[in-house]
Amino acid sequence: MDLWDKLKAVLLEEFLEIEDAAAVTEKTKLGEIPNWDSMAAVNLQILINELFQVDLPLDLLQDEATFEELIGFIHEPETIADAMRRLNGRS
Amino acid sequence: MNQRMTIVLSTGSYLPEKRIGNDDLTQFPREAIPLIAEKTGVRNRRVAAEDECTSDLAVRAARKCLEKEGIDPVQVEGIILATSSPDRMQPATATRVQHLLGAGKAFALDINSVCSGSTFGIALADGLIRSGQADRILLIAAEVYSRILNPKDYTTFPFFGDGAGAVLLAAGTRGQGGILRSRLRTDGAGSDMICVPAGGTQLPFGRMTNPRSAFFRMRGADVFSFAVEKVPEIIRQLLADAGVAISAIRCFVCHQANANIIYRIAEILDVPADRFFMNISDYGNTAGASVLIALDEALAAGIIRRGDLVVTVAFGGGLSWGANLIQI
Repeated sequence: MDLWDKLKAVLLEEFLEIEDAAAVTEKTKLGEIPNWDSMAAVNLQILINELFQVDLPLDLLQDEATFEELIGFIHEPETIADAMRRLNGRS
Repeated sequence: MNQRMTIVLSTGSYLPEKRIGNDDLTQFPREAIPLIAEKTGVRNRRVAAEDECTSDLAVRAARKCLEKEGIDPVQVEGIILATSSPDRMQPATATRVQHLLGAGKAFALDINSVCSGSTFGIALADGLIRSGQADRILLIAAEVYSRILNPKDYTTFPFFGDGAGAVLLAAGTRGQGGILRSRLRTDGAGSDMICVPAGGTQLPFGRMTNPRSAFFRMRGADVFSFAVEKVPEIIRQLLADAGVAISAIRCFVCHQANANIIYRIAEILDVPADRFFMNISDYGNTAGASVLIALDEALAAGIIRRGDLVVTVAFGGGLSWGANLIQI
């Protein structure tokens, strides 16, 4: 099972409102998850930490972020710091 | 002939001793902790002891309510317990309360209007008293949400607390004040917005495929929108029905779901926010119990005095929302 399959399996358990599992792909934006909000982002942050032992800052779990991007951070956690620097530079 | 009315004889409340502050919620990431107070105003909550269940909290609140006015429990003719976190699936939690309280002459029943329980209970008790079914009804609202929440779910766990409130309602006559009017509303199309999916006949525990279905869940953003639309509307309707100006209301005792919801409701109604009693910072959202706890505390603090006009208002699962105009 690759990272995405593992994450998706748990996502479907965690976010009960996802009724159409096929509609959730790596390209799906977080903001497209039913009932996604800043509280749900914390749940996703916890879930990723438990599954992959990766600390993703909440700032990276924005509505526009895709699962593909998250998988990238999980695969290469050393890129998180760079992403945060880019984010802070933009803001 | 004097019209039969329902008056407020006494109030009481009970909050468990164990206090949990936001910083104690170590199961959540540190950076998420400040968001709890920022998003909802909750800083602390009380949690029932291991050996306490909903009926135990209810009995403690009820005793305080009765003792305040020196009423013997055998004088109570009816007990209505509003709860959405009952001791057991059946029988009614109110039956154990009746027994522990020693209110042997009282009928006892539960109502489950989730967070609107107190306002629905006031209206129900008022109807029973006005119709002559009973002269003294003890309405209790008690919740132990700490047992139905997923401790690892950030969207629910940090925002709720356990507690109980009680109000003794009795037959009186016009001129003594009392419950002047109530309005109750339900929109069952929204029944999935706030719920515990499993454990009933729709999804028995044995058929549950996801353990999270056993826990309470809510769609927070949708609840916020629902509340800020329906609460101002029902308050306006209630006061229009009664012919009472909003400026005549001494205090609004609103369900303590979220401080930001209350601020928004006050803004929409163009009422100063300080006329809305708030204790959510100390107790979190105690669901159906919050209105009666708040009413008791507002009376104890002297914010509400005898003769004052008060609006109690709540909203929650169902969807349900209700309001009562009370002259204390």
